[in-house]
Amino acid sequence: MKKPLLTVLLAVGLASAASGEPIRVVTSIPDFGAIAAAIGGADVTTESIVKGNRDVHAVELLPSLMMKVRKADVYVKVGLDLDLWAQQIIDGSRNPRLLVVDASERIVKLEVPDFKVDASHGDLHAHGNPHYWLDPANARPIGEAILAALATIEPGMATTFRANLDGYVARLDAATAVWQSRLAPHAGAEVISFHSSWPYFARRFGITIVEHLEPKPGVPPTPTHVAALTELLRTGRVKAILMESYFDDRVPAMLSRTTGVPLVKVPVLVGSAPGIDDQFALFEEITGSLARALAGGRPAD
Amino acid sequence: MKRTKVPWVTALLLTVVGAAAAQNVNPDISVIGDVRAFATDDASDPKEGRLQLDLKSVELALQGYLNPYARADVFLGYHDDSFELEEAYATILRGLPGGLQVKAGKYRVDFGKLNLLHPHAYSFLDTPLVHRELLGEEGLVDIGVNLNLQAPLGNTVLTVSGNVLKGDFAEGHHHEHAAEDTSSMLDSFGRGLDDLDTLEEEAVETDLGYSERLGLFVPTGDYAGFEVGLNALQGTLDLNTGRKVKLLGADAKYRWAPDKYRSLTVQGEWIRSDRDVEHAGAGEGGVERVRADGFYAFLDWRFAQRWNAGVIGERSEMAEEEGVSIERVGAFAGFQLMEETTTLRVLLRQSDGDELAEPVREAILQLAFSLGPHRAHWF
Ligand SMILES: [Zn+2]
Repeated sequence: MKKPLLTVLLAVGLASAASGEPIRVVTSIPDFGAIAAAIGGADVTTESIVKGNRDVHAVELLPSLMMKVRKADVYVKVGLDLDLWAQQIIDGSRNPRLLVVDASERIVKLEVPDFKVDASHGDLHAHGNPHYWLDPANARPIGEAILAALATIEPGMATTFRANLDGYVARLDAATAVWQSRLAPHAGAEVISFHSSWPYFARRFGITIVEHLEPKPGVPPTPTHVAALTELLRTGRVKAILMESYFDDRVPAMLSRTTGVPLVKVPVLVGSAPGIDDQFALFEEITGSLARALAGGRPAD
Repeated sequence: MKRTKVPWVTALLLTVVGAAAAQNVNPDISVIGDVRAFATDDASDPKEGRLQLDLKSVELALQGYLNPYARADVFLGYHDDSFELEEAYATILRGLPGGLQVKAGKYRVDFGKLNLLHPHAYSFLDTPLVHRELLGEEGLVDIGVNLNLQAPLGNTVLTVSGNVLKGDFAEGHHHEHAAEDTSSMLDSFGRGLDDLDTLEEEAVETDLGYSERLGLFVPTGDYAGFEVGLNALQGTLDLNTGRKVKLLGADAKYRWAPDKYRSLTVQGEWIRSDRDVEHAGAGEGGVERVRADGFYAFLDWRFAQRWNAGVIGERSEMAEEEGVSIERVGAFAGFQLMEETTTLRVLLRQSDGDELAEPVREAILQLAFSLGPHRAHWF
């Protein structure tokens, strides 16, 4: 069962596709698939390894995933040690002609540790925070990396692909301006998040992440840490608890109830909630829910 | 060449680490330790009723890519006061026609799915009886070449795999429990394919062995699926007497992960062995063919991010004694202190068998720790 192609902004010259066969792109996350589809239009098919409301940090290495990659032309991974499992899927695919794209290559990385990272820091990523797709402006560097691979496979389409990417980024930029203006009244607002997924988002939209429910990345909340967070939330400084929808919300919901700080539970991946079918819907949902909570309204659940 | 002694292992280790450091392409290095406390009410065990401690194993893994298409994996293990080369193999992962993967070296043979797993990773803590008895105390490990083909078959995935093996199936994995004062009926179980070495003066040259696997994986969702497999092995136990062994196996595994925090594994395997045994009663050089079989089945439910629990049932006949068997049931639980770097596991089990005067109860507590990069688990 093929996933229907995402609709694209610009009309694509169908007739100009040299080989006639669409380029098969498999991505670690659906967000990259959305960008690849925008660039390639009808000349690419996309499929994501992570599907639905799932954690990108952990994936079940089912043999059926390897078979998806067996026939693919391009694999797009998140990199920065987030989807280390992708290499096992690529190896398991046994596909010798696969072009592997690390979408993080052109990203300006945040939170690159200046100390030696080991497991005492939890699941900390030595090369920087890997949740860079949560800044819509990173669609440009991600798209450039994907574009390079697609243009290698179909050099004749390079100009069309570039025009498609430019158009997509322009549309996303325009939408980003709207999302930014929505959060502008709350500039500098202090927020705590469940996991450290938000530095790129926070920088783009001017909020400040002051703490995480996870005491260290990947480590579930401990009672002492929750007690410390309760103290922090009771000061009234923190305006919202922002959480990724794939986590268990029992602890953050309890914190929200006991302190009155609103809980904002949002999807962080395209396709992880009904109606979140592309990057526009994803950022619309995140910024909308967060702005409502910061404005003191009822948070959307 | 029975045991791999420390000095050359150390030399090899230094060579590998040195060469890697010199080229600045360090392999991933990881260390996994397995510490245990246990107690038994086995009356034939001199330490009956007393708490015993053991550093069951320490494993050092060196793993990395040789190039984008091939990787090498080396596992050195410390067990029972000696170091040994557990596994050392290179795999050509992709680039060969028809999705062929080739592996060569010393490795855990893909006879069933469980044999590929290192014992410190078993959620049920102990090697199943049928593996100990029919495959070898630490499973089926041999020097050989493996060809593995995998192809989509409609929605399913078909795996066809064949091994040519050196034939001394469990070299270096024989532990002489008989020499220890802890020997009991349960300890004498688990001689596997290696016990015949002790009957001969020195390890006799063995003839090539062959093993085959046919597996079919059926996805039942984006995060669920099952695999069924058939396994066979044919080989010579020693050239002097020409004694042969044949193994036949069938296995099934189901896995389902409803969300980030929970997953269910149900897995089982049945193995039958037919092997020639030198029988005292059969006269000089007399050889008798002995058939034995056994199985295990377990259910493991990870019900919270850091917690899992399950049950295991097993039964096996002894490889070389007609009609002597042991049955076991166990309940186990595990707790991950922090991700998968530190795990506490506990097993409570009861064994009963033809040569046990009365049922034996045991409790085992394990602390497993791992240093270094963690790879995702294969299905
Ligand atoms: Zn993360």
